Amino acid sequence: MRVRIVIKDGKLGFFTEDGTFEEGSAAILALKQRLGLAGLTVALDGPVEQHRHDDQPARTYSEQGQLGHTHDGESYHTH
Amino acid sequence: MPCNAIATVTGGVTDESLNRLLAEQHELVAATMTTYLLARLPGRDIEQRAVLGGFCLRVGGYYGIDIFVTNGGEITINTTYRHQVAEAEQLTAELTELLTMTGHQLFEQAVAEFIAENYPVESSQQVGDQLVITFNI
Repeated sequence: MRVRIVIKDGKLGFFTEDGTFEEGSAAILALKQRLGLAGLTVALDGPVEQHRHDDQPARTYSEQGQLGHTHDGESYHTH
Repeated sequence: MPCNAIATVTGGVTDESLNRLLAEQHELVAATMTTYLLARLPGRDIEQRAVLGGFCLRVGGYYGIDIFVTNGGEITINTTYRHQVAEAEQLTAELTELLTMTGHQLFEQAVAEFIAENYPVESSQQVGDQLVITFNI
């Protein structure tokens, strides 16, 4: 499974890019646990979410310096 | 691939983790803060020395300002004279921000190293001021 991490100013965004939401959620939580065991503890802002974009491309990077997600690397939008 | 397969969450490094990183890299932290003060206060006498549990930066000699930094990144500033208090408060604010920035950089590096050591990395690149790492899990 392909995973993307975006890091800025001590904040992280975790994103899975394939597989099911359940698989992705489990992968992210396992990764967070492994980071913690390595001494890199992260407090999540909330539960792992599923993002739906039925009629528009998902996006990854930030124009405003905020963590976002994407498939195409174009401009960022928040939810 | 349907977009609704995306799982995502955001989070932040904990203070505990940040303090540990700063403690592990206390020599780098001391050098960073000394370099900052030398640039910030040109011409001032600045002395750095190790103390139990951290280091001390003395600005302006014996009757100057003493800046104590614990290995976990806690800053305490002592002044000799009342007129030095305002400068001490300003330096405390600036050095606290510098410590936080340094901690965040150390965290970013540590996460990148952890990913590189444990997963096959597809790409790792700086996009603006964000580090973006794509890998397989």
